[in-house]
Amino acid sequence: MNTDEFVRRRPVYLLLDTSASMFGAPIQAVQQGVTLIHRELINNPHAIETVYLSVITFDTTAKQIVPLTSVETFTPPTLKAEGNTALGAAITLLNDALDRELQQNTEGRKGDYRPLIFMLTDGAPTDVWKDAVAKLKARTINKIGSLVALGCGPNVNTETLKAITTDVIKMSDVSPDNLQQFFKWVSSSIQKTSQRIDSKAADDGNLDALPLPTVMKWDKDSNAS
Amino acid sequence: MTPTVYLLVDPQGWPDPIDPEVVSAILQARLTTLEIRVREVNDRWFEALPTDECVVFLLLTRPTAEGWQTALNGWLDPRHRLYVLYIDGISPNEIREYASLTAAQPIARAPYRIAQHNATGLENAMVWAATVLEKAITIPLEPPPIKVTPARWRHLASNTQDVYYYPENFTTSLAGADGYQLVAASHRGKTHAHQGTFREDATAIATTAYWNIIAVADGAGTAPLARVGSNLAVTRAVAAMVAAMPDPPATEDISRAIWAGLRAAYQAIRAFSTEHDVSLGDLSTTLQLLIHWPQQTGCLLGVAHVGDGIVTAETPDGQYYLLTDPDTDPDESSRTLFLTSGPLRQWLERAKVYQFDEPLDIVALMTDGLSGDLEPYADLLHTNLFEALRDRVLCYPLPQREQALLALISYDRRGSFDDRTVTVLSRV
Repeated sequence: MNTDEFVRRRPVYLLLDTSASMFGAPIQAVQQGVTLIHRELINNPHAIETVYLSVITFDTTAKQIVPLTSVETFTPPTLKAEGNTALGAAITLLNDALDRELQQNTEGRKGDYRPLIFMLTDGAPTDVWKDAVAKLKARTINKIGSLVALGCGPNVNTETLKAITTDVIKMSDVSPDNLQQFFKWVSSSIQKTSQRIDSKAADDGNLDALPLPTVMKWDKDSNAS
Repeated sequence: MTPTVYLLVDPQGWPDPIDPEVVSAILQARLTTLEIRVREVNDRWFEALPTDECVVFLLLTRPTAEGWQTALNGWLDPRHRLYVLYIDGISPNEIREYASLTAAQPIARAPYRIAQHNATGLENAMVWAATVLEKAITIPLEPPPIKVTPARWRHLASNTQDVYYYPENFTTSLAGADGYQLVAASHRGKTHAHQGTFREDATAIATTAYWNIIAVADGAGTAPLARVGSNLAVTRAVAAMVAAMPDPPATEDISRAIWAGLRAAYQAIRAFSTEHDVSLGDLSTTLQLLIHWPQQTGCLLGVAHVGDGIVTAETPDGQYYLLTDPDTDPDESSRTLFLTSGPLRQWLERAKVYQFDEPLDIVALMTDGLSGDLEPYADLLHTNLFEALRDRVLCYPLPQREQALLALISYDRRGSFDDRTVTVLSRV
């Protein structure tokens, strides 16, 4: 049977802080985390057919080091830690990528599913970020589904993160094990949404947040649990 | 065991203060499989030399405090090696002393002069350090990349011992009223096959002396007994619609019968929920009903739908009609409605009757597992559905159509995981 050629995708963007403060064990843990996500997704046939991954890193500048790629062709990138924390530039880059890479809804055809965005940072932005965030929030096409921000370590500015999203997670003790648990949680969340596509549940890209590992806690104004 | 590599960096003494982490990152980039440990030091660096087996690179940017010779002499041995890099401004005598103290160690190298006191100078210095390390120790090899093979879909049988067992595929057919034929096929989707769970779509057909009757339902994937809900809905609705036809029927009996079908399905699910003490949500299902009454010229169609999926019809000259609006908002979500989402009276307006002045060639009811793949805009629906039905299903005699229809909807498509069901009424 001839079916429609366009296949709706579930885009997932990972925004990773690769500033100098992440040097050493943290950046290695993040590197392993991205590999872990990929390995779990490629073991899940639902995810293989729907999930597309992109990696944006930010240090002194922001770079989309992996454009939106299918799970099968994705290769975990090598991450290096150096420089500042250009979070604003990363959000700007994300906005551009959403404009460029996603298929929007048209008359008679649904576009890509709403993207999931996971952001990890251990510091405060060293560049201008408010305009980029306002632009991200004001999107009318290719709107984002969920944006989860993980603030790790003692130097993170969670007020900044809360200005970006209501889904802020805090991890005080940044050990490789704890980061690993975060990435495991991200991977499970992605798999859960990819499986939900045909289950007639809400599919606006809202994560029905899985319970967080104990090393992390939600940092929300209303319901800190 | 590979010795540990230390980089001792004094941030002071360089024209601008330097960040030891940045210096070490330059070296690390060239030796990705080695862990470089960086330590920020001052001119008394010799007081805290590492004690494990190691190779130390010392970046000298100012004269060392007194007493270093004795400390270093006592520390150097085959397990502890030192290489020195220095900038201009440190006395040649001091450099000579470093050179002579380190000359006896294996893979000895004279201290390295950093000629340019800028980023390029640092970069060149770290290139030198990397070449020394490649000689001085066995650098672990980059592990070969592990090729990960994508997982395959599994095909697990549904549990035949289950009290509410339904077969993975289902077909049925019937010669209907006024020379029309009815054929239905339902196919278990990839998700259920992978998990060994049940097909949750259902369909039922019937005919009376005047009417052709069809019901199609799609049980919610998240509801544990959705297949019970969908099957109850189609069987009870069809039986109620058959029973609701007076002989002979009048025009208004169509809408009464459609409403009787909706009500019977709704009440059957509620009754099951009460009798078996399961929640209504566990039985969630969509429902589409059709009564086709062929007339002298043209026909009457009674249609009702709750939830997603489509009912579509085509005339002999290729005009096509979409007779339902799926209960989804394409912009915001694909959340749909279920028959038991609210009180029965909310579906009162869903029972509709259409009058066609020409006969219909094909009418098809399908669940969203199929309609979602067809993306029903005009041209595609014509070629992808109606032409395919004519060329690959309706060309056969009725008994063979069941398997042909099942084959037509058993295609594999990326991103299409759901059960698929289509029931077709046709004049040929």
